[in-house]
Amino acid sequence: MELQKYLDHFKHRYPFLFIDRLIEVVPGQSCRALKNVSMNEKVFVGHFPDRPLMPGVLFIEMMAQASIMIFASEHNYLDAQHGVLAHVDKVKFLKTASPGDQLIIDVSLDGKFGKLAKFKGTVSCDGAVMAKGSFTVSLPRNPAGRS
Amino acid sequence: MQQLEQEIKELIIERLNLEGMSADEIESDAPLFGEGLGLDSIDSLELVLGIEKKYGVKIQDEELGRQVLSSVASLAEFIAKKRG
Repeated sequence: MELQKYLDHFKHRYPFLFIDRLIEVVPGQSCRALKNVSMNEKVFVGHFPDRPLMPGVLFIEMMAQASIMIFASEHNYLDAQHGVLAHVDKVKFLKTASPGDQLIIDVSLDGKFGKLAKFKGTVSCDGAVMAKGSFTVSLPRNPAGRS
Repeated sequence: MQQLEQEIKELIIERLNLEGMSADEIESDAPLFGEGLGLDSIDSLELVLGIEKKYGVKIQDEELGRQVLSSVASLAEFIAKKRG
């Protein structure tokens, strides 16, 4: 599948789509994606009016959205695009992101059981890790498909 | 089998961060989920990954997984059988 096709199938939209470009997707294994932080981000209206900073919780959402891409092309997970966060574990926020930053999101699968899949991920900028941690996503499955 | 059950109890406590709990407090035949130890679906994924890492035994089928994860005794039996 062409990389941009994944985004076409993706259900998240403005103002809650935090992936601008897919760099690499290895189905069932890993995903590398890119997010450009713009002064026009809706979140900067409130966080903060005098100093625009990307909230740490959105780093988690970026990693979760990238993880969903790993399963978006799999037959048994046709509804994976509606995946939601189920658990967040040991996430660290090491640096803040602001307008102009180009973020690279890397996630890889740790393992899955049933509809739950656990991942490790990082968000980095200019080679420096800004956030890292583990998280679990619940991936709704096609009723006809079983993992 | 008793040794394996003891190891599994320690793995459950460590992997699921059940702080303040000792292996002796987990009964081998008691249900791990629901009314027993009170584990949830997120815990089941953690346990499946922990068992795979420690024993090299994969639990992929969800139905089978539910049966295997029902108690420490059923987990020990499954792991012992898989390891031959």
